[in-house]
Amino acid sequence: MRQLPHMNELHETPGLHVYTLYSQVHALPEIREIIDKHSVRYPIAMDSFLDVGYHAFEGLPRMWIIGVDGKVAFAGTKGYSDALDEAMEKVKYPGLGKTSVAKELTEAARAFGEGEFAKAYKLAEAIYDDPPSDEVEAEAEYIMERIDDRIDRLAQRAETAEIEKNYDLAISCWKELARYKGLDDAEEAPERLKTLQGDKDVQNEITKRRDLLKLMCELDVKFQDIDDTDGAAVSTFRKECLEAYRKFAKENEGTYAADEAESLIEIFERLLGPDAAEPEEADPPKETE
Amino acid sequence: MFRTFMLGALLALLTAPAFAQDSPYPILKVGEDAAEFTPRNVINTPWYTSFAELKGDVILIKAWGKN
Repeated sequence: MRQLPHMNELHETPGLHVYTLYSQVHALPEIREIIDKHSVRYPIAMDSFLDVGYHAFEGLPRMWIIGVDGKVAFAGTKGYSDALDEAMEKVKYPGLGKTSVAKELTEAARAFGEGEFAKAYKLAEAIYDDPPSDEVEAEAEYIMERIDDRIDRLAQRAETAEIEKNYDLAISCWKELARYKGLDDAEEAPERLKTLQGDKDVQNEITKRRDLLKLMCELDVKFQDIDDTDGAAVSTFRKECLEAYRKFAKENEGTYAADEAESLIEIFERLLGPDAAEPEEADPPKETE
Repeated sequence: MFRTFMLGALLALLTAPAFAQDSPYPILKVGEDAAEFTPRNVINTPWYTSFAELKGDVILIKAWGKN
């Protein structure tokens, strides 16, 4: 807990991305309280990380450091600070994906690393138009393509996320794209961001997604009291989950959160088999003559 | 109280592993590629959807809980 504000500082460090995994079971309001208290700004994944190897059964917290080559450079708790310093020494131009460039492109690479993408593009383009060698030309092209690719990817992802009503992701992408100010394809990002943030339907969708997460966390907390070696108890609990998600989907029909709930319903229906049948509504009483 | 199952206890019949050596889950080791995953729920959703997009930078992944 003492480390949370420190993690916020690390999250602001250029070239370093903090990503966290919530690894205990608590009701969402309890988790939110901590997030609000410490103004946590970095991502917190709530599920799916155990299956791929990010677990801390030996104790929390546990850290993994992914180096510039995309490989795990450290896994554990003690000594992570030194390992992080060592990994960060290899980041010369944050976000560029290269640790060195030709001397002619140093200024462009530095501008890129400092988030001045329009300047970086302009500098790289000037070298590209009049390159001293093929190698330098290729490096200049790399910087320009890095910027173009990132802008294209972010814009496409934001558009798709909006269509899917995954507004948290759309907002995050437009926010990131707004950092590329001065470049044509990123110009609309601030306006798109403002529109989304001011739209009541969008805010409603975001609230519904949070409601679904709250329900999922509540069920997780309840599951802690279930004897998971008792097949009957587990089956009863699964039925409870199924009913809860069905109710949620019905009450929030037409929202992205309801679609998410539907996908959970499908999983529980598969797990429960014939027991998953919805209870039939009682027939209205027959009129007596 | 560790989170050992997907939210909503989807895999509720599995026994919770007490120690890593008993774990049915893979263990990510130093030198391996960063393992990718797509969470159903993220608070403070980032703009990136895979760690591979951040290649060239450093990623600090931290498992934590409020207790």
